[in-house]
Amino acid sequence: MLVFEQVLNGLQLGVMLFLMSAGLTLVFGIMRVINLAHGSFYMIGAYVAATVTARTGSFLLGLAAALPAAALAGMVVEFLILRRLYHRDHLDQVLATFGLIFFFNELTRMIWGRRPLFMEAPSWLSGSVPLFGGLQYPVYRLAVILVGILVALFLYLLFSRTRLGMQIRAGATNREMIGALGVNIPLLYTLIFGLGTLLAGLAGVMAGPLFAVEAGMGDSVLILTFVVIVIGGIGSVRGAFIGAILVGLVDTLARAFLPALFRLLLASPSSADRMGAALASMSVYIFMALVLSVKPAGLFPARE
Amino acid sequence: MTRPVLELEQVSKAYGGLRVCDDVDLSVRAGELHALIGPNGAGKTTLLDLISGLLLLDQGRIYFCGRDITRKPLHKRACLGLARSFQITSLFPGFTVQQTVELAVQAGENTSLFASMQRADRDARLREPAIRIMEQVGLGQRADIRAENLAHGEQRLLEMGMALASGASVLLLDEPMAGMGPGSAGDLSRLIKDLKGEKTILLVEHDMEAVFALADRISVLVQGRIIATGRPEEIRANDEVQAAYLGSKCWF
Amino acid sequence: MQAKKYILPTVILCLGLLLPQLLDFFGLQYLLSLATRALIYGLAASSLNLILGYGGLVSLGHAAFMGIGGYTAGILLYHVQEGSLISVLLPSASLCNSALVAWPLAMAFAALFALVTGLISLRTRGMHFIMITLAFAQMVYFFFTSLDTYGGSDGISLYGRNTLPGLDLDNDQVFYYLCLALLLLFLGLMHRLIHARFGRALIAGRENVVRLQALGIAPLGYQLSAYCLAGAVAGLAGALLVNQGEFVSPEMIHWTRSGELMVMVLVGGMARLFGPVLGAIVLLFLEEYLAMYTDHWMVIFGPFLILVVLFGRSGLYGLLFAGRQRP
Repeated sequence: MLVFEQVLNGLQLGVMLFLMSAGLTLVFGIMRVINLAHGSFYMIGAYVAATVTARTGSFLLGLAAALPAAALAGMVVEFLILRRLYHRDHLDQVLATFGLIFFFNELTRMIWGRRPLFMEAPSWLSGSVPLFGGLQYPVYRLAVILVGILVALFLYLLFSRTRLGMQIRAGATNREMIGALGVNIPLLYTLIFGLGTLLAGLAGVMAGPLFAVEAGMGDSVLILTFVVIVIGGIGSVRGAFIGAILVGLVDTLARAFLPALFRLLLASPSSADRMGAALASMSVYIFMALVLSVKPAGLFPARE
Repeated sequence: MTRPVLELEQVSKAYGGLRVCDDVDLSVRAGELHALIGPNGAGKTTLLDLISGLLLLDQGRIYFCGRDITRKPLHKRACLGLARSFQITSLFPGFTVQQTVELAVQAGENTSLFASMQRADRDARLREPAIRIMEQVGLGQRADIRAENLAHGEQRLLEMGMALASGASVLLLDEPMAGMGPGSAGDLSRLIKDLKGEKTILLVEHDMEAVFALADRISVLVQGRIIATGRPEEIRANDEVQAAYLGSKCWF
Repeated sequence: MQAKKYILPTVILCLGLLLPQLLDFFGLQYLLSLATRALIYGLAASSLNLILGYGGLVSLGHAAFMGIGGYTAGILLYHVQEGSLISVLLPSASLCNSALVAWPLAMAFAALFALVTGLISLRTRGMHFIMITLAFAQMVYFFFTSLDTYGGSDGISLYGRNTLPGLDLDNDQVFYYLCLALLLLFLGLMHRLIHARFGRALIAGRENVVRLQALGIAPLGYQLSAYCLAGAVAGLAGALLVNQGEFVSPEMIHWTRSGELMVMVLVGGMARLFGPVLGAIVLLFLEEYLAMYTDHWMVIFGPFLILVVLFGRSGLYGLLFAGRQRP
């Protein structure tokens, strides 16, 4: 049953990576901007939620405050800075968004200090439930998985059933066309960006009780998000979903089982643990390299 | 009759439901100037893209001097002697005219990676052929101007210069005179005429005067299909060709 | 016109040659360490300039090469000092400790990593390339963080530096001059490469890769060679850095380090030979002195960087002489 528990953990990580990468892959695919600062909105979501939750005692209020905060911050950043980068080359985009990371991380430290914030899961989501096989799994993590699936469903409906969704999909495959069709492109871009940062903020809120809420928390998640997008294919939300689940599973299962696997193979348990841990931390990137060698544009590239 | 230098057999390319090139058969003989004409959107540039290797075809075969180059990548085809000029000017913005032409000469040298350590800046083996080519296309006075600062007509001449400098035997020219004034177009026309015989040329052009003055043979491409191939007089008299152009500008 | 270009570099060069003496004279010896680090980062940033400024390859993982080189030298030094297993395997401890063994080895490992990852990443372009280089660097970061024997995420302190026959590298002034010599050597090599056919092909690949292929040149060979060379030199810089600080940790592989290298290249001037060195000097001194005023200097530096990117592209070098930019 240990395997099943780890699979669930992998799904939970995957779902959070999906929230991060869904918006970002659209930004990459449609606006063709590489945005390193996406992790900052994850961080903003976590910090706002942690602060409001601590003040009011209500997780839901924290959530309700964090989501608009992340979305608004995103749209302001898009309007002021990102807009000017759409036609610039990637180096400029990398460096400018790099500057944003510095700014947000330091600003966070200035306002909230260097100590990590503590965020508790809401009481109505605490505890564990018995799943089959005698496994006791935390309710909160199950809730995270559920939220992720709901968001995926929501996005699916958004893209396939609404006009806005259609415009976004069209934009992912042919940017020039949607302009010709009379769509207000600047507004569309701002909305897409805001949607992406809202999802990132949501991921941040959910991560609060699980990981440390500290400045720079978005940076490591960001790189995993990049891996997801590269594997899934730039511009494809479906690819982001599948990529995220795969990455979440590979990372979690590797960390859980590789050291044990190495113990079977090697005589010394401490070297086995070390080698297993080392390989486990690299597993996601090796997986990425493997996928790329077969499919250089990712699993579901939006455009050829 | 010797084997044609360039042969296309049943070449097809489709984007979804749209057949951009439909079962195209084309052969270009050594030393001839073969013009490719047709209404806008007929697929002429796409055909050149397929021949030069920018695009890979869906069906059919392409032969260059008897060799099957259907699956060969872009740069390999250029190495074999197939040079291309682009309809939408595609230059190296920061390179001067001379540096651009020298680069094309360098490409024609086919140097290995190790040999590429040789100095390029003051190398007569690059500079002298480059100067000759620049004179030939009429850019001799503009040698030190950066490509991005050239006038449009001069950029078209540079496109031509690049195609010549690589030493290729077959030139694929995509509307070389596009956007040029009558004077410069005339100069370019004369240049192309001088190249006939020495080089094999597949010319895509809209300037009908030039086409009929220069071409040895003409192929007409309409909606991805070749509807006629022959000598200029034959094409002029061809009913189907006339019909294809009815309703659009009068070409003749 | 030609001569004007060489005035500032010459001045800086003279300053560089006389710096230890000048610092002695003004009683500012403690700055020598900072100056040495500036040279080392200048070397690393210059190697990045080769692939980024001239080659147009936005590699966000350059710190990984520094880390591989640094850890190679660091691990060898550690084992020699600990007197442990490896020095038993190799002929003699002094061989392990020798810069003539450790540094080329550092460069070799870094170049090997560049070769393998380059073969995968150079087949991609644009955003893919950026993200893949970042991912590979992160992989290296995690790898070294997980090596508990070598300090894990805390790193290890080393006592003493590598040795070179005839030179006392433990002497800070000697070490400074060595770094200066290596930097000048590499800049000379870069100059040679840029003005050779190699450089032309590399730069043309940055300007218009399709057109280059249409001419008959395949960019991959040139880009991969440049990438491996840049990796090797960054590996050397890593080894030098570890020697300079007598300390090695995964911090040097953190992706923000890669970003800092890029900032040095940008701020100093891309595709200018001396630009990155200038950028390294500026950035290191900024970090040192701004940090004295406020812990939170990053909150100013971030927006400053954004403004530079949005409005000032030719870097310090371009500002200093708005001369013609030759490819």
